[in-house]
Amino acid sequence: MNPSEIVIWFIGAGLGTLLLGLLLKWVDRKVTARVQWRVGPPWYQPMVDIIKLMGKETLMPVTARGTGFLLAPVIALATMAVAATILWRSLWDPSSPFLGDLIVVIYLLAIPALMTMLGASASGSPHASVGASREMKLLLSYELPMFLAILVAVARSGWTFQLGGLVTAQAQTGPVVFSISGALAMLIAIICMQAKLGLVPFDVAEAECEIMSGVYVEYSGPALANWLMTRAMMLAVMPLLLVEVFWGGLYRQAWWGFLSFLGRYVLLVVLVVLIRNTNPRLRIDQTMKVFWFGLTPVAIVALVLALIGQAEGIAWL
Amino acid sequence: MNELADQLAHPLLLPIVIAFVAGAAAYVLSRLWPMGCRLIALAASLLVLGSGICIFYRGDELVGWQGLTFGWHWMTLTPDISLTVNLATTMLGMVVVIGSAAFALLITIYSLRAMRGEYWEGKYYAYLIWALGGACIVGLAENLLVLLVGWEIVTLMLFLMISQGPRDAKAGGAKTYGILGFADACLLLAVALLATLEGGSANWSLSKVHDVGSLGSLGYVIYALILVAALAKAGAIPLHTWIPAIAKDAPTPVMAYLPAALDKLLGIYLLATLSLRMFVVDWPLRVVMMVIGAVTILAAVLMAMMQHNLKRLLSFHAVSQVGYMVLGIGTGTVIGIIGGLFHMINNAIYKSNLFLMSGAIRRATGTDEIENMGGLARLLPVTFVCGSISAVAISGMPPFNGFVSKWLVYQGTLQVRQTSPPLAAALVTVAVFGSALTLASFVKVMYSAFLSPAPKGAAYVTDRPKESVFMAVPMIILALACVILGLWPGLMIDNVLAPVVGAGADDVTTANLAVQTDGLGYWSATQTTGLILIGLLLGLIFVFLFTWKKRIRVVRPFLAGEVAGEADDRWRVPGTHFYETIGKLPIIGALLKHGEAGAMDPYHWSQRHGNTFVQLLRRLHTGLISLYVAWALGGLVIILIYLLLAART
Repeated sequence: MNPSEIVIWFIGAGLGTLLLGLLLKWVDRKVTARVQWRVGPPWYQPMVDIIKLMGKETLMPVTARGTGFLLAPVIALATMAVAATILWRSLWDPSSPFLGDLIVVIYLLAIPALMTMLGASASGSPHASVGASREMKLLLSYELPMFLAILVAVARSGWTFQLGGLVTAQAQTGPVVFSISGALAMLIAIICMQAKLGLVPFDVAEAECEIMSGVYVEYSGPALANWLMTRAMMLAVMPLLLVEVFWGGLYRQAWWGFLSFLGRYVLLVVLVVLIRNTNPRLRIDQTMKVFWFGLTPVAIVALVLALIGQAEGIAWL
Repeated sequence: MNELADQLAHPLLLPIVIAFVAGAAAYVLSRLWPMGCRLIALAASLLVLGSGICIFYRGDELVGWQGLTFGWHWMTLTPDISLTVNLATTMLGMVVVIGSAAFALLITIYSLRAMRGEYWEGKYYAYLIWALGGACIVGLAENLLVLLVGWEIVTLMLFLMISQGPRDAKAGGAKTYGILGFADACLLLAVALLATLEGGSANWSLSKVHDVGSLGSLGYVIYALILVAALAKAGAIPLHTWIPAIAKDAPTPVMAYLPAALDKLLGIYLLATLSLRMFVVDWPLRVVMMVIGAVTILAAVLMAMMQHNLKRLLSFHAVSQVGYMVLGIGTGTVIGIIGGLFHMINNAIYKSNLFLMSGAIRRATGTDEIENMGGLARLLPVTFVCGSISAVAISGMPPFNGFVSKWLVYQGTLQVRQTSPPLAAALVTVAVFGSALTLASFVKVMYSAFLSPAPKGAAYVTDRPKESVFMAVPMIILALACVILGLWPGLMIDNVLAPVVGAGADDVTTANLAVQTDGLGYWSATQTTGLILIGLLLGLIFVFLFTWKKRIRVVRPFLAGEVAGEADDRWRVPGTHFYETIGKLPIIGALLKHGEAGAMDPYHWSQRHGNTFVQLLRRLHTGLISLYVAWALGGLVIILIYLLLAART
């Protein structure tokens, strides 16, 4: 693929994911409002919020290390866009490898979290420092079960790390989720997605009523708008990753393929919103215990089941 | 006489002779003319680097790889065993030679500032150059006995350098010599055992292939002995404890030079030579190596996360990263081995740089304790940027060099599934998770040292320390190397690593600026980085358009309604508190406690049980002559009985 084509894909996928993410943010807010017996905002509200924040002045605490503090959200946004491009591209055309594989995507998706921590550290605020340490511990918590869950999919789809390969393998053998190990892995991945998105019950790094938005406490104006856009994109990208890895990707040969993809995708988003609205926040130590001592053993069981299924040729295991 | 001169002029001897002559000159001049020692060290490391590069290219183009050899017969002991000095060039050996010389050069430049005025500065340069000479011998050796000589020289120089340190580093030095001496003894024993095999001293040749299985148990013993030597030098668990023990007290350039760079190159070089050239390794041995690698990754990084001393923290990472190399080489797959060897090079680069960073921090703040640092991003911008790049690289974040090699190791490990899927899944999970824990550890370092507010009353804030040019240049070069090898991994893979491993065209290709492994993975660092940069640019333009003509207003930070003064410690969260939650978790907390108490340390065990034994012996030595006479008589009786029995048969 020539460079100009790559750049066009990048800009298209980046902007598209951003708009989609903001729309999903509206879904989130709307459903949340309905759950709480409110009306909720109109569909364009998240976009208006971003534009409004863009017009505000930038405040920076006197304790901040300016360059790092202001550069971190932009790097996060750019990385997020690249990760989104890889995922959309491999969904659209699984046959040719593009930019990077699944491992690359996992690592690229960790960079926004890393930038959150660096930006928070650079602000010099104690609330943000506590938030940064929690963000890191959260990352450690979900990374382990998340990777095990992904390995289940990798083991079931021909042992490849290439996203296209995973999608193609599922087109032949059926989605990973339609098996005991696959369903368990997907369940774990959904909970990990919740943590990755930093939503209740795993929003320890922000925790408005404990540490005043923690990692974002000192951000305002365009810098804050950057963070909100990054998080909106994350909201659009994580369900996409799950659909690709566990739930068969996109079937392009018929119109219902697109419809089915849309259904699975929206279902995952709504699930995220419902989890966030029906749970209380966990403390950071509880979070770590949930992931390391609760979900990790389950993920290991799922992996063992998948390996047994592969070795014995039992498709439903 | 003429013959000797001819032999000394052999190109392969050039780097070795230069290093030893220059080292001797520096040693002689050490008291008289420190400036001369500095110049000699600079010139010698440059010359060794130059001669290494000359050998590399001439060997490649004119003579051909196996053609450039040196052989000198010294003496014949028995018909089977003769002592010869054999040197030859191999691709990996040249990596060791050139890499060691490059590190020697950079560390010398760094030391021009860091070691200036030390009472043993002259000797330090002599030791540094001699250690380089030892590394060159190891890299060029074609014979295990010659290799052993170079190996010993490096160990000895390390010991001399750490025990000469400004502060009392004797205990750590003793421990180092205990462990490395034990490892060297193992290597010597392996050399002796090899000579007893059929063929005698011809078995020492590194290019002679032995089959572990067909040699029976002796083959495993010899393999294990050499493995112990390699792992102790590189610092894999459980022979790693000397690195954390010396980390606090040894001078920083020494840490950056030997344990971080040279010892990794040498240890992994021996491991690779052992497993790829000398022996045909079977599956059980590979499992042992892979498990050692995985345990090393995880255990050491967990220990590192909990450290409060920067150099000690770095030293545990120096151990943890070895795990990836051992794991990669242990997989026995082409991709895994390439990954492991690539990680050896990458790790030497960024780990050395991180130690240099700690030295710059210490020079500015006068401390290695993380909680006494802070606010250095403003004071030491070059150190901050170079240190951050290395920290992100060691955490395996794309697009830096650490990512590529770890990524290759993951894939090599995944290929182990062809023999054992559960093992492959477990190992790759450990490797990926270890990388996340590394990131955690370095987030703590970056926060504590550079980004958090400075502690109250820290003297360095008012002194406003400056970067030193001599210390900044090596850091910048190493940071650039992290970026370049990360963006263009093909440079290393195509030119050096694939030929070493003998990779086929299908295993790993680096076409179109992307690394593609056989149906497993795909990574195009340049394109991805290009896109990230384009995104960054677009984002900045976007922000710039909106904030046009608006100034950034600097305000007081939000402190829940409190007003804080400058450097107010009430509102300072030290980085040491970052992971206390993890230390309090069940299971992991207990493991960490035992780890800190030395549960993984054979040296510690031997001390404890060895002490009991020594006490027992002590009790027998009461000083009474009658008791000694009784002992002597008892011994005589035993000898007599033995002789009688021997005479009867």
